[in-house]
Amino acid sequence: MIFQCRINEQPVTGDVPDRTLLSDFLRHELRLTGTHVGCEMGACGACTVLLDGQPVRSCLIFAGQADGAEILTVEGIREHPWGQAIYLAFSRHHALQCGYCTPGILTTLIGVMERGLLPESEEEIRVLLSGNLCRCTGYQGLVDAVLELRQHQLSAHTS
Amino acid sequence: MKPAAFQLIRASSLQHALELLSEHEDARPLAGGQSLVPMMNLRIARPCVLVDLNGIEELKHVRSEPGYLTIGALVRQQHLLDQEVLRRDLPLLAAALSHVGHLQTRNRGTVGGSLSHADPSAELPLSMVAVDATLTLASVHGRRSMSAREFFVDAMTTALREDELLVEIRCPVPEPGTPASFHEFARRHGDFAIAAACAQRVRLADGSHQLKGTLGGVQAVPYACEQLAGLSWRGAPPLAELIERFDSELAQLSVLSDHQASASTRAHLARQAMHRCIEQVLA
Repeated sequence: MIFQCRINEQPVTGDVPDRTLLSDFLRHELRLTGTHVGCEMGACGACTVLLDGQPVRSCLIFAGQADGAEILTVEGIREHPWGQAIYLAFSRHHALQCGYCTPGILTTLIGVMERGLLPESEEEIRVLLSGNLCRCTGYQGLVDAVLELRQHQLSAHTS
Repeated sequence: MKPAAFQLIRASSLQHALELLSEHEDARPLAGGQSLVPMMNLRIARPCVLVDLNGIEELKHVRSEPGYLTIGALVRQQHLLDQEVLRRDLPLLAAALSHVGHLQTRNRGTVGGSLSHADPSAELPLSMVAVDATLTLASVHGRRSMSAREFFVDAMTTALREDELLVEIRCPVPEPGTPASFHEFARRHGDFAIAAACAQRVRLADGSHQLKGTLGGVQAVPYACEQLAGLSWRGAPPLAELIERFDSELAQLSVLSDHQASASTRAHLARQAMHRCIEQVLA
């Protein structure tokens, strides 16, 4: 299937077998290996990218279905207005160790922040993070990073 | 693992999709893909043709009409959850939907897809039975409608014929202020429920009250607690009697056993979930 989309603000044309997963298209065709593959069942969240602004599982989308879509992968976060704030928060609060789950969490957070919807309470933050399995951190560092980002989101929205 | 080879055909309209399903013998519909694609990635499912329904705009409506909320089958789960009208008119459905998967799967998964998949532990089939939804199915031969209870035939099995699609779900809106409650037990928030329960306190035509309870995850299809509903009352609710009635009804059920939970564990969790629901709606 031939399709066209934009990935990290760059136009991309794909020509791959219909059965090609979006995660594999990103990793193998485009060499954007920041998107990770964990379970290929939608459960672990390592493959999460933004599609038309929404966090989705790239392992459950066929590449051809991305025709006409705007995709953001972890590689696109560096240039994102929230990029620096997220990196600093994650660094400050030790929100990653091996980094395998991290891209899926970063894209999810960007998607949620762009809608101004970072949750307020620790409980709600944990519910949000439950869509990404992390085996290293025990989640506390992630929760603390998100709490810091919520402060950042609040002050950005009022300024 | 990777899926086996297949042909992906994008349907431009509902009619086009129905024609494709009718034409191709080994064609399966692809909605959100959150249930089907994992099966294809595991090679449990190997359709030769996938009919991509995601461009069919005519099935993406959420319409509020007097007494009903009508939902197109291709409405994304998160989109429905974000609707104020859902929280206002069908709080039971809103509660159940918040337990369906995670944000990332709800952004793609559809209401119709989850219902058509008919997993015994899924929250949407349970809640559609609980609210007495009417489902409309379509094929090139026409449309037919049935109750949610009739739609769910067995585990992973619905009344859908090979060339049929679920197109619309119509939910009667209960009287405003109808107490409703949903509880489930799952290992992780968003996982399939090991056992789930919902309850509603309904007012009957003669002014008495009745408890409508429904269980999910305990049998192949959602279970409506008929014996529990059999006791109606006026004035103060007979809590102890209702609980006893439910316990005795549950004890008679043959409960599923699998790798997640034995029948006795599952029954125990179902009992706890329903007790919480009952206490909450009668509070």
